Amino acid sequence: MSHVTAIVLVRDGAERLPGTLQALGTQDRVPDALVVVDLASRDSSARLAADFSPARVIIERRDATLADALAAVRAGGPPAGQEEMYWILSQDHQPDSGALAALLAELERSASVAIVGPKLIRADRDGVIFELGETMTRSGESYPVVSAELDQGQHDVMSDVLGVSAAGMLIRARVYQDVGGFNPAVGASDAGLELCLRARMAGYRVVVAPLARIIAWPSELIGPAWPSGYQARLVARRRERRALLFRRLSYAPALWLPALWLGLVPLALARTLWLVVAKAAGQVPGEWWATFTVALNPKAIAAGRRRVRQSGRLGRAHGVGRRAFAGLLLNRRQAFRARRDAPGVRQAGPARPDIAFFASGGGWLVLALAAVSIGLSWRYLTAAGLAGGALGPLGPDLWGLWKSTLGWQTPSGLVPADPFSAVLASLGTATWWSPSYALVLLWLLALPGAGLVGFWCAARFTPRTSLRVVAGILWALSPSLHAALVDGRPGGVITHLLLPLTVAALWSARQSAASSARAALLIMVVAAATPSLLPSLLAAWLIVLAGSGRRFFANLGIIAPTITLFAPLVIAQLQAGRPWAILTDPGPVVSAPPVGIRDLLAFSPSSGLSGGLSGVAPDAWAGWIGPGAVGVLLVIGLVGSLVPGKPANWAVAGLGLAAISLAEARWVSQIGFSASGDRQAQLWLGGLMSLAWLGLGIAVLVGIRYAGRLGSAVAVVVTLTGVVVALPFGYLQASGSSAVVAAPDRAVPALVAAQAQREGAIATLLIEPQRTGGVRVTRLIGSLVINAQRTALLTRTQPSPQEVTLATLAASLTSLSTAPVADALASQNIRFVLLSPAAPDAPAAVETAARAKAALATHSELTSVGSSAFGSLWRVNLPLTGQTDTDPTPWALAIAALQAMIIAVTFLLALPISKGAGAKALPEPFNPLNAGKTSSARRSQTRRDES
Amino acid sequence: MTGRLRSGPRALAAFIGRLVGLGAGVAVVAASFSVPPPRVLAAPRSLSINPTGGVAQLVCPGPVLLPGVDPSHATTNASLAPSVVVGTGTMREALNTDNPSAGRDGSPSRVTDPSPHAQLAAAEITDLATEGYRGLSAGACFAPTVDAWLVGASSALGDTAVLQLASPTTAASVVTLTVWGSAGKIDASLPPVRVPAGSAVSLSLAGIAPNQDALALHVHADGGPITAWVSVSEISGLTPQGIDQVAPGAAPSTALAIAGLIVDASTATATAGEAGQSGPKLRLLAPEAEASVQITVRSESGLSSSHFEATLSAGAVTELTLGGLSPGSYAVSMTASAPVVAAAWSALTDGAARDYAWTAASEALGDQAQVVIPDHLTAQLHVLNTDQSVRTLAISGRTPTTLTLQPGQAQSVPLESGGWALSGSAGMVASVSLLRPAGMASYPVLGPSAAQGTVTVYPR
Repeated sequence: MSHVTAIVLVRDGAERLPGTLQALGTQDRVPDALVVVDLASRDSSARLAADFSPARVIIERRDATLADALAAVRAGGPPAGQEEMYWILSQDHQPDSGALAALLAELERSASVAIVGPKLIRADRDGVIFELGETMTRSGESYPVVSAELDQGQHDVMSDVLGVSAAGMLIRARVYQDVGGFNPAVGASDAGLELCLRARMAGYRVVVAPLARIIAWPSELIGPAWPSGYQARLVARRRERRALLFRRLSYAPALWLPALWLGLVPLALARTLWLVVAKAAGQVPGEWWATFTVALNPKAIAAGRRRVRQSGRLGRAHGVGRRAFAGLLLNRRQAFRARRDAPGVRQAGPARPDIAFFASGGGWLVLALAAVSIGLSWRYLTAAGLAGGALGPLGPDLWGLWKSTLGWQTPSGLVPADPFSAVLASLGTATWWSPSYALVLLWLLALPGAGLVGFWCAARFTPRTSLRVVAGILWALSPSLHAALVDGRPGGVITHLLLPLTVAALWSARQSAASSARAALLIMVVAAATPSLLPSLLAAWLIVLAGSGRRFFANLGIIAPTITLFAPLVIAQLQAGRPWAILTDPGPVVSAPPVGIRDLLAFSPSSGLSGGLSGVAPDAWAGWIGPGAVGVLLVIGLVGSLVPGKPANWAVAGLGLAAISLAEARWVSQIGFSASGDRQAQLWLGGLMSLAWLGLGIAVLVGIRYAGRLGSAVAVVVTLTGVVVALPFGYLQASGSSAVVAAPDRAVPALVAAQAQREGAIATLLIEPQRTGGVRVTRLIGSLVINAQRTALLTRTQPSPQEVTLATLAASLTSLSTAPVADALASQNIRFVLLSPAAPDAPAAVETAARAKAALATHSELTSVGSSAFGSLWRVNLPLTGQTDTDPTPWALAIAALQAMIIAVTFLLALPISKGAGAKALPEPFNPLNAGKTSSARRSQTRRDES
Repeated sequence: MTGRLRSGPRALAAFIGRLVGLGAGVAVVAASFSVPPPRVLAAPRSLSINPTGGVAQLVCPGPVLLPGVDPSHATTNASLAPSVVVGTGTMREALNTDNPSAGRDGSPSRVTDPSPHAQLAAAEITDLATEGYRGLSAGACFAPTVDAWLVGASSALGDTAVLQLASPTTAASVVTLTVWGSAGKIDASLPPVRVPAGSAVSLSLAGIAPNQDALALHVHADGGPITAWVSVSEISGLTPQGIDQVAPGAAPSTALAIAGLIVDASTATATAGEAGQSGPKLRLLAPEAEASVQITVRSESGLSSSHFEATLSAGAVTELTLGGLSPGSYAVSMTASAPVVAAAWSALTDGAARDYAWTAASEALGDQAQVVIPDHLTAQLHVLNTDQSVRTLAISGRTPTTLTLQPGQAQSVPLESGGWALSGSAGMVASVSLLRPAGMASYPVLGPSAAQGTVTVYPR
């Protein structure tokens, strides 16, 4: 005969306790004894329980574990001749009337079965199995055998399992004692599995009784976790993780124990990285909590191992091997499926059209644009680097590239690097064998790249081939892209290539963590390349944030990498009282002719449009061709914005974006903050113009879409219009009148480059005759590279003492003068003096160059080394006494490390990852609103809501 | 979904909403384009620096060189008499030279003064009296330059012309020569001349441009800067006709001035049209483009002033005789429609002996200038005020004196030997003439070197 003691754990369970106790009373097989274990309830639970007159046990600890509860219960014994059994329940587990009978039947049928588990049914979804049996992988990760399935009796033949949850478990009291009882060190959710493992080791069987149904609510007392809030789910996950680690240390052979223990922290580190990649960064603190609570609790490990040993001895006595349950473990593929199908895993958002890149013409588009690109820029095909505009060599080597991203210590403080230098360093690293070549590739690939980007972004929103191809063409023919290519603006080219991707990522950031991270990285790069877009990007971010809803806090972080990267520059400029100078374009200062109204109206950020047109059309109306072409696009866009239907809203939004960007560009068209030599920079308007073009493009696509059968004709008109605005720039580029020219991959004589490579810290005094007849003086460390330019220096209004010293030195060197130069040369560590050739069309510069050349030769401190295309070079014959100021300071390194860490984490978050390969999902939340619906029904409803 | 038509008030409201949105966009664009945008540009930041200290070094030409006079070195240019340097420098070092008689006669030399406020001035005098060559020559000592324009010399029968190039600095020079004759530019397709650092080389112009009776040269140096002179001499039959050293003059310009053209009584011609063998001449070259030149010759006494006009074809060296000038000192001013270079030539005879001197157009002086005068010779300082205002020139030295010059006025003052300092000389052109019986020479007072004065430096 069996004597069943039902043990009901209660803690503040007034709401459901009566129902549970009632259900116990109406069982087909009523438990022989009822013990309510009250874990110091603060509500009326005690009084309610008393109505059922059980043997009540009160434990005055709210955090008592299952083990404590059972220890308290075991005091009373069963009548003689009857086998004592415990039925473990809580206030949140309400058995069906046949539950106990079904469980007991399993125990009575076979003496080898020690533990029987029920089928837990979700209280919030009628008929959905919450859990039926538990198992784990070889490495100890636990999974339910069956979960989140509609119960249609399909599992009712199941029997042997690795373990069952403690909730609703019926266990022989003798076995419970033999294997050492529940382990108090294991949390409530894993206690059942852990106990079952030991029972298995001791040679007993664990089975499920699928006919025993227990309705389960989320419970913190026993059984699998099923918490409602995100935080609570994280807590449940970290307990699960602690249980896993604990299990691992308890079951490991003694020989392995030290290695396992020492490996805990490295393992946590590795898993931290993995969790970030798997977009589960929220679980990282829990991972460390679990690691340390396990590692620093040797007593619990020892107790756990004692229990395992005890069970093992018993098992050997029963003739069972140590791995009695090996066949019941999950293998890798099963675990992968379990993770993928787990109910907590987020399902895909609204359905997106297939990209079908080649099938819908993307391949041909990119191929054609690549051919056009080669036709236009064949001059650069064999170049080692590019020069002109803001272009120049990168490098000189990998170390130099990345060193230029660090703050630079000067006597007057840390001069922060421009964020763009990190972008250039990444580019240069891509062609590590010759960093400058990265810019050549950028120029060659810009056109097909822009087409690809336009096509791809359109493909995410429309399945129509024609719209996708037109989007690609429009984006590749944008005046801002071609102006950037002709005027030599690497930042402009990069911005144009990334802007649509940024907008698309921001759009998806409302739904996906990976998109948020991608948007964060893209915004960072675009802002670094064109800081004048910062206000627009911030506004876009705020708009996305406002529409984020549940993902508000996740999307708050989108701006974090940008802030991190810009922080040193922003702080420096704020300290200097030049907040607006943050918007200064990075790289060498380029002085461009002012951009006229007609250029702006043609969405061109450069006067190159009207300039190029004047080469192919009569002057009188050349200036109106561009605005006229854009007018055609505008009409199509206006049609798109006034047609009925939802897409018209897109067109209106696009035209609004275009209007605002255009107005902003006009407003800042004569603003600049940096100067170098006799050149004054104006803000590069290309970023704003790309944005305006994007808005116009969206409206035009809507217009074409509406045109129906006329669509293809309109698409042809749009394409031709794009060709008209891009043609003048193409003409400039193809005819060699562009500012960009092929150049060697260095801008200093080979001797200087070689010496800099060898000595490292030497400086070169670069003297450049200016068109005004003055000289610009620069102290180069190593080589002359564009990634070393710093807007924090170029926007300064007062020369620093060092600059005054150098200016005086340069004046003395370029004059027939007896003024002493030796001290200044030595103390500034100047090994070479390089006099650049003057522009032949500037007489004042030619005169200055002649003067400087005559004077330089009269200084006995200098020896002429020779002349080259880079200018005349002199070597300084003095022992150098200056400080080597190229070693990065700890401060600069610390800042860079912090930036790198945040960017790396964002990058890892942005990596796409397949669902099953990811981290184990958090438990599925309990959602009372959905009570009564199956999960698949809920999913399909969500999809309907979102579409 | 395409164009799903909806009717009713909601569709109308949506349509109006879009119209309002578009209108707002148009308004934003119109507003921003209707007002001129703010103009805020960072001003280029420059420092104007006038380096302390004066000219660090001058290079003196050494003795007059003659081609092949030494029988043992028939192909080498050599000197016949030592020269004497007068000047203020404290250190003097000889440059290496290819002159085989340099040991005896001296060689081009570098005069330096390392003191921070050095004011260098120097000239080198050669007084030659051999059977074949006779005359007085004075060469100014120059600061090294990149470009030098030399107007003078001839390679016609009886004339010798030896170009001397010195590279006084630590940098070797590669010198490109351009030579013009009376028929135009002489395409000698010369290889560039390499002048080693701290050395001087000489080459006979007869080998480059033979049988040219009127030469002008442009010397351009790559690498280190150079100094250049042309030693000239003339023999008629067996009679020496004089020697001189042609000094670099002003670079091509549309306004040139020559101070100190001496018309000696022995060579003055009575009438304007007469082209005497030894009468004063003006040699002009418009190197790039045809130029019409307005020439004013004004006497220092202020009594006479004559104007005439000439048209120069591009690249052809043109000589104009200055007939009809009464004996005395003159200043020549020229304005041209295209840049020209110019120098004046005058001679004196004393019985059978004759000597001549080239006086090149020179650059205007700065406010301060230095002059040095040799011993034993009658020296005159000639000054021409090219400025538009009245100027007072203070000459300080052993016997200080002051000159007041009206715009365009020329004056001269005799100076004793020694160093003299000019102040208030801005905008003036000056030269020194030296006379002895049957000998005349001239050298310019140097203006500030092109490589002196304030530099505009952009510190970034």
